[in-house]
Amino acid sequence: MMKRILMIIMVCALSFSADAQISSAKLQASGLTCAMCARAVYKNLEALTFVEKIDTDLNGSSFLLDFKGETTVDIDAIRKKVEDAGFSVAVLDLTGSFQEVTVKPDQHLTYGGSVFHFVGVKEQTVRGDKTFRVIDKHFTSAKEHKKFQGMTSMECFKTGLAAGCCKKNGVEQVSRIYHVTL
Amino acid sequence: MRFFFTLLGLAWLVSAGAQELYVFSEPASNMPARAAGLKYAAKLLDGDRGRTEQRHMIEMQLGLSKKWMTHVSTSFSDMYSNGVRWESARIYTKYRFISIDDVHRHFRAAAFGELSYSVNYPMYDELSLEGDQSGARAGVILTQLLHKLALSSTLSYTASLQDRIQHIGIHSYTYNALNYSLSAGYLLFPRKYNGYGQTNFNLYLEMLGSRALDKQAGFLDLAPAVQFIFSSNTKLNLGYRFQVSGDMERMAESSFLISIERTFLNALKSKSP
Repeated sequence: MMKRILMIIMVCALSFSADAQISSAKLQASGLTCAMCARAVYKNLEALTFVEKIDTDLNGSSFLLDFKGETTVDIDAIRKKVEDAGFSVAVLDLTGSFQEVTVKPDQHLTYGGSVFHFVGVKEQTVRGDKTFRVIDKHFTSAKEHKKFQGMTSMECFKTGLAAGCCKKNGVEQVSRIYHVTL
Repeated sequence: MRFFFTLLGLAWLVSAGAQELYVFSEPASNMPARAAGLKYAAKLLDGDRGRTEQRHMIEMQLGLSKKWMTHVSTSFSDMYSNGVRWESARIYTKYRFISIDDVHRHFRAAAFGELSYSVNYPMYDELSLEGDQSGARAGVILTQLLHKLALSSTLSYTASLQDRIQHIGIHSYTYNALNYSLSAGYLLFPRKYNGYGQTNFNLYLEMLGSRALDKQAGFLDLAPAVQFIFSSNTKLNLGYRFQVSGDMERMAESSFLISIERTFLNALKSKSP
């Protein structure tokens, strides 16, 4: 009996880790005030195949996105949709569930089909739902991006693409790396 | 007139807020990529023939990319004929080359070009490509959004591309002019948003000027307007334009404009996920 329970727990744990992906995001768009402009952003985001549902806060130009399960969230595609509507991403906070992962400064982590590079964080173990902020160019203000640039000497931060600096972490060169902070 | 100034004064007092979907001019911002728009506009004025004259314009708008957009339009009027008849076709294109965004703010700059073909033989100095004459226009637009207030200015050069009938005893015509505009828009309602279905109400005041380059003539108009936006996709604009100073030969010194505009988002095909 005990064995069977353990087996069930293990299977659950395994499927949980296999499902590890970004579940939701909070996006604040910049460059707009009116509902007509917000609707353009909303309609563009709605067209993304991995988006399940969007709630809008019109007064704050913010969008709460829920993603479909078992799909890869294309973070750059989210940005492109906002820019195609004529605006920019001011803040993008991604939320995902972590089992138990150690996060270190300048550490690369593959999660939900994307490679993340943590900047400006203390070494720590994350578990449960965790929200992290994308600090790459065009995902945050130039000022904010610059602030984090001082916290890493790695070249990939400037381009968002894996460079020579990333090799030691086993990441292929020129693949997309999203720089994030907790 | 005093009423409009009071209205504008009030708008400014209610503090920073705004819109840039101007009724008489274009902002530097573009429509969304892959969006399409349809616009109908009617212009009414009291002409010098002692009757109310009308122009009807139908325009299709396309967001070719996030930076490029184009308008194609045609017009019908009785301003140069006894009855309403087809008079012109026009193409307008705009390229946004600067876009600096911040939350509830932006600064944009765009360049535009416009070409029109008209069957009319205008006998006035005012150069207008909205149906009156065949011509070309090019210029730049700068737009600043400050929460609910949007300010925009346009500077352009217009050239007439058609021969004029030289009436005996009449001075020479204008063929080249510099046009300029300064526009302010303010989002008055809703004060607080609760959904895309809320009707928005915007107030506008625009200054529209022209100066002939080949003779001493010009005018400066003031154009107040109101705008309702329904369901975040349909605009209804009502505007009145009148001359405050000028010495240019014009068809009329004041006119009414009513237009209705519908935007269709994602109307053109997308390649992305």
